[in-house]
Amino acid sequence: MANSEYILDIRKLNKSFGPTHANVNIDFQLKAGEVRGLAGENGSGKSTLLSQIAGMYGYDSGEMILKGEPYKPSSPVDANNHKIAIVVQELGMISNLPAGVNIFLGKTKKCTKFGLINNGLIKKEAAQLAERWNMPKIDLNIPAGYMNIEHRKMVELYRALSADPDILILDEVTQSLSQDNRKFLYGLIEQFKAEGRSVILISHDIEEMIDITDTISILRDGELLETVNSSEITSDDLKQKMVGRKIEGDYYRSDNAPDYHDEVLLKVQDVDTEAGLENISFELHKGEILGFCGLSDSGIHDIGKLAYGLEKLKKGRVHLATADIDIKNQEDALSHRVGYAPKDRDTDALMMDATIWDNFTLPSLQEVKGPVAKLSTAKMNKIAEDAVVEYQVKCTSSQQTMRELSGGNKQKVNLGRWMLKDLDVLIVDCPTRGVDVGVKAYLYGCLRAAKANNLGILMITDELAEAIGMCDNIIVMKDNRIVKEIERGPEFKEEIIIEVMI
Amino acid sequence: MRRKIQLKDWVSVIVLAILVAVLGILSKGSLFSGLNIKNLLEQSMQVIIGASGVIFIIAMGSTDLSIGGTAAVSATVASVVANKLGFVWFFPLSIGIGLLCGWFIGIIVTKCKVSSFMCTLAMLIALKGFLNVFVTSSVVLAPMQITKLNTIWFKVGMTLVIVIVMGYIFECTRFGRICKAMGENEQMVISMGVNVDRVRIKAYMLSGLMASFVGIFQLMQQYGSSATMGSFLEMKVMMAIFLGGVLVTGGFSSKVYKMIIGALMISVMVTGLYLAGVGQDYLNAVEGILLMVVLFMTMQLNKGKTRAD
Repeated sequence: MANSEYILDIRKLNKSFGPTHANVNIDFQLKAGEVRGLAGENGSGKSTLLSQIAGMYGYDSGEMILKGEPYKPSSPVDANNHKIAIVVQELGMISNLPAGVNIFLGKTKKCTKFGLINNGLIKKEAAQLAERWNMPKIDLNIPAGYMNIEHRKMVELYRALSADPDILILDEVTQSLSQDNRKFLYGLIEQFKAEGRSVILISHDIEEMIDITDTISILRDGELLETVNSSEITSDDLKQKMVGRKIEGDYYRSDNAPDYHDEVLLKVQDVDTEAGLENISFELHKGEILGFCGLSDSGIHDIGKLAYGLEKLKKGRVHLATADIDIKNQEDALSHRVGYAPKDRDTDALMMDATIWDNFTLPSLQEVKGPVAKLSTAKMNKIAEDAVVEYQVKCTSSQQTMRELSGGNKQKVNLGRWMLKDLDVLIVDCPTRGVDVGVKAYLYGCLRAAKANNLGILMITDELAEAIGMCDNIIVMKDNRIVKEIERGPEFKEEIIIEVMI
Repeated sequence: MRRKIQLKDWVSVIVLAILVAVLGILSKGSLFSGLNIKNLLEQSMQVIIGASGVIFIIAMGSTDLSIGGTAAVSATVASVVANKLGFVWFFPLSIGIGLLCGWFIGIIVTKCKVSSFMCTLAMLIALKGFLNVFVTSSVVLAPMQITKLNTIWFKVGMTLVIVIVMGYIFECTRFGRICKAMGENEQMVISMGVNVDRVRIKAYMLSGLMASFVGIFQLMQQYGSSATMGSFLEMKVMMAIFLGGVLVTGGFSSKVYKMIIGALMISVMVTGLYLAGVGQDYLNAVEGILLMVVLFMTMQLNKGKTRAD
């Protein structure tokens, strides 16, 4: 039998989807108590490999040996029974059921009394989990559909833990979490290690991955290239190995001083909102990238909605200087050269079952109106076809369904549908969430080019490195208020920002 | 490159062709006699007019069950007033009532966040009750000027104009595309910068307007109103739209031509079965079963092509 040193031993694993070879002859060995990272570009086969381990896909050929026994899970539930649990990249919950029920979905037997699901038992079980793994408490009664992405991720994490896993698989979980919840997750991973349990994780944050893993396996085009010790590799080397070529040095901007025009585009004055923002004032200038940083509940994401007219004001005004109007609702913003790419790509920004063509053209409909309000098909075709080329969307044609694209390509459509328009102000909320380094570098390039073209960009971000790398000014928020404004220069440091935001 | 013509675009046409062929043979060709063609057209036209309003609502992923009631009440009230005060009141009133009903539903659905299904169902019940008040107390006759219009050419003309205008709005304007986008992902449309409440109210008003046209149409044919006026209109209309291959969730699968084919399917089925000698007693039962078979066929043929798997 297999070497007993390994808890999971995968040999010559193959998986194809039609003509695409997603995994080719993968050899993968995991020790008990090991934290393993998977690195690779979007579409390199990381998620496919994890999905097979977690029982979501079967494999075509090869073998998996789990604790010395052959292992071929027929479903995620079967995998759970073998003590393997996954938190997936796409959200997999039932929106109408409360968080508590979602956690124990498929294991509700534990929490039933007389055939009915008992909320008291659910609460007890969840509290036990929270204590066992030292996790933050969450509200169990809210239906999953009403939660933001971060809370939903936490619920999914709970669900995975409820299987008492020996191997925990995390597919891009940190991307959705704010700094404070990430800390809990790091703690959780430490605890897994200490108990001799294993973790496999994917993260597009390369630095983070190197920090928290013991070893990293690098995948490219479906093949596992090599497995390295995290302590022996630098992030630059890793990036280079992932893409198989050198990534250019100007990932972020290289200058150390703010650089924008004096002309004010958007001015927010003394605003209080019904959602809770207090005393918000800022100005966005022509050619400026203005960053907003803070913990997830600090109100930074509401700033984007506020600037786009999606929030109800209690006092103050949002003045769009370019058109000399106050933005009172989202229609004012859309019709006066402002664009907004929300954080939650799949639910707020894109039509997943519509085509790329439909998604690219929708924000520009006003501009392609001809006589008698007729939309010009020729103009729409041109917009969509040009955008697919311009933003390098990897697809079979502009008629492909959005859902079939990888995360990075979806994000290109989300940002591209705005950048193709002739805008004055663009609001982007977490512009590089869930995309790999290649696409990230490309999107930063797009944003920099737009800045050079005098676009004012309001960039709300969870990633401090991104804000520091891209912005002219950073506004730090805490508890729905602005606590500090920092200009690009010597003060642009993670420590300084973290100090005020926590 | 614009959309390629795919098999799924033809599914409803193929099913309609099969229906025509089978029922044509079963009725020994009498389905194609001049009188029957006229019958078929008259039946389908009402459904098509009604559906050309409701399709906006379906595209958004909502429903409108009230149109039968709106059709009957707008036509009846307009007739009563026109008979008393003069014909000039007829069109403004019937159209006005149609728009008003739509606007009212729109307000309730958007501002009070009531589900469109429940809200329009309640509206249907209320309107039916209102209709009973009128038709039980006295006989309501259609104004002379209206009954004179009851020629097949006028009706075909009216339907054509309506379908072309509504089809244009639905397929070629921003309003139509926004309605479909709301069915795909309403949250996305909101954060893109559209006041979806206003769009929804407008769509319900269009639906009410079309319902009032159906009311006028029925008045023409029946020379007056009755308690059964507009009955089952909403069901036939929804059936036509879904039979044609529009998804229940709405979105970009909604197409005007699908709705027209669906309406024809229903009429062909109803007339064809009767002509094929299905007894009056069993007619409705057979109709229901056949509808299910056709719906199943349409869905099976569409499978895997409308959604990525």
